[in-house]
Amino acid sequence: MGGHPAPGPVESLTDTWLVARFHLARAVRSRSALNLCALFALTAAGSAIAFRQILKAMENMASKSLGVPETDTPGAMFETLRLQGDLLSMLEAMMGSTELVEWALATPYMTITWAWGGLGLVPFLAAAVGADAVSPDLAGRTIRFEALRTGRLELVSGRFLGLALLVLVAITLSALAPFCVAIFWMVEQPAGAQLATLMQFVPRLWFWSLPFLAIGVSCSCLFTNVNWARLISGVFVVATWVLWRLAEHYGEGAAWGDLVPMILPQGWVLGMWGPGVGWLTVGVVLAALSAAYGVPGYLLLERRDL
Amino acid sequence: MRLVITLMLGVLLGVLAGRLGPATELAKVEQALAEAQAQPDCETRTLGRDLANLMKTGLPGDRRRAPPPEPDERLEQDLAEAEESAEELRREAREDLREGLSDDTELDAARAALDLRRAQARASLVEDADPSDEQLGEIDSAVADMNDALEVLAQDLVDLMEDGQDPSRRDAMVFVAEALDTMIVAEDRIWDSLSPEQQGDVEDGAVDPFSHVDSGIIDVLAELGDAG
Repeated sequence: MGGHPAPGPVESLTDTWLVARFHLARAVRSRSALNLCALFALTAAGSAIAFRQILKAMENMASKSLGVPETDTPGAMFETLRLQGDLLSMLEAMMGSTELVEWALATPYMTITWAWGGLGLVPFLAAAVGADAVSPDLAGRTIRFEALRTGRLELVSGRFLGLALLVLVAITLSALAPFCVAIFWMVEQPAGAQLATLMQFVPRLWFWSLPFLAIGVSCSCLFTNVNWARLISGVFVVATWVLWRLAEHYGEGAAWGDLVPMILPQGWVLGMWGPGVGWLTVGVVLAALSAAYGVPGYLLLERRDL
Repeated sequence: MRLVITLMLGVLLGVLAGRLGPATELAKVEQALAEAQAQPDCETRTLGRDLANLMKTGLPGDRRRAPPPEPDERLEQDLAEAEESAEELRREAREDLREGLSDDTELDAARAALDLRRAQARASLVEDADPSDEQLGEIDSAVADMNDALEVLAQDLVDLMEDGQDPSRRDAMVFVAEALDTMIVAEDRIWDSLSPEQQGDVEDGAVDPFSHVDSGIIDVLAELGDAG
């Protein structure tokens, strides 16, 4: 196998950071960072606009039933329901906690929608991003030159870190899409509270993206064809959802039913909600899960003849 | 980096080991709780208790054991019974009204409907007419005055009914006339606060005073239910 000998602890961290920085700079230079940010923003804008349209249709339907005029700009009725607490029972059923419901009702609903949508969409986007980490350089065999300068662990973890920073930027920028939709095309949306709560959710979604990014990176170490890597990482992401639902549904009371959700990011998803910084504990667990998901990729690359 | 990753895997293993035991215990407790909640609620099934009461007290109006009445007595008895049934009907109607007003679910639904109508009517008015702050202040003030007046009227009606009286035809007419008068004044104030161009832009339902009635009136009427 040959290559660079394993660096010492400090050198290893420095190398990881250098690889991450290089990968980030290369993404900016090659416009792939721009594509990624645009993709995240378009997805967020799409889901925000879809939510607005659904809300508008529902409000107009209710207007007809109540015999009052319809409006082009939705939000007045939903805000009334939020203030009245009529959404309480629905949210209680979804979250299973009164404290969480009270917190959710105090949060602008476009923020909740964006975060809720992000929990479903970000895993796929992050896995697709991660699938692009190593595959192209494996296909072109240019990775061996990098492997001469540093260890393979630093190479994989550095690329993971670089992409994670890129995803953080993309998530932050994508928050502007629901902000614009709420402020310019809806009523009863306070700008300050909207922006502040959206920014509070950025780190939560980022931690949430890490395990899926690691799945993508692992797949990227497995395939030289980036499209295969993307496809298989997508399959793995779907598999995590399916496994989670199976464990929730059929594993009640069984040991495997308790264990499986704990090794899946979805098993920790409820901890991402709520006020304060309590979600940070879950964030650490998600980061640890991403390390666990990334290890197979590193082991594959370690054994690969570059 | 190897150390960092080992540390993170250690954290993960620690969390899994520490959480697996309590999670199993919690699942058992939750299952026991779900089973307990699935038990039939005795309070909601009163058929047995009702049957027992029926056997103890007999059927209402059961005259099998009473001797057959004389003809004159029978007429008087029929009249008394008719009077009794009329009184019973009135009492039932009042009870139905009180029950409706003391049913929290129905009251909440009524409140929600009024609040939604009001919010949507205001949003439509603002969207179509785009009033200035001054105009909006005048509109809100007209609506607030109307709702205050309606609540006073409703309170008078409640006070009357709480005394055990049924409002007379004249009382009912006066109540309706005053309520309509209040609403007409409110509509005129809303209408007058808008310029002719704005008046042409707004939809009729947005200035309809019925769309701006506050849910506070439900709280006033709910006192009837509480009193019952």
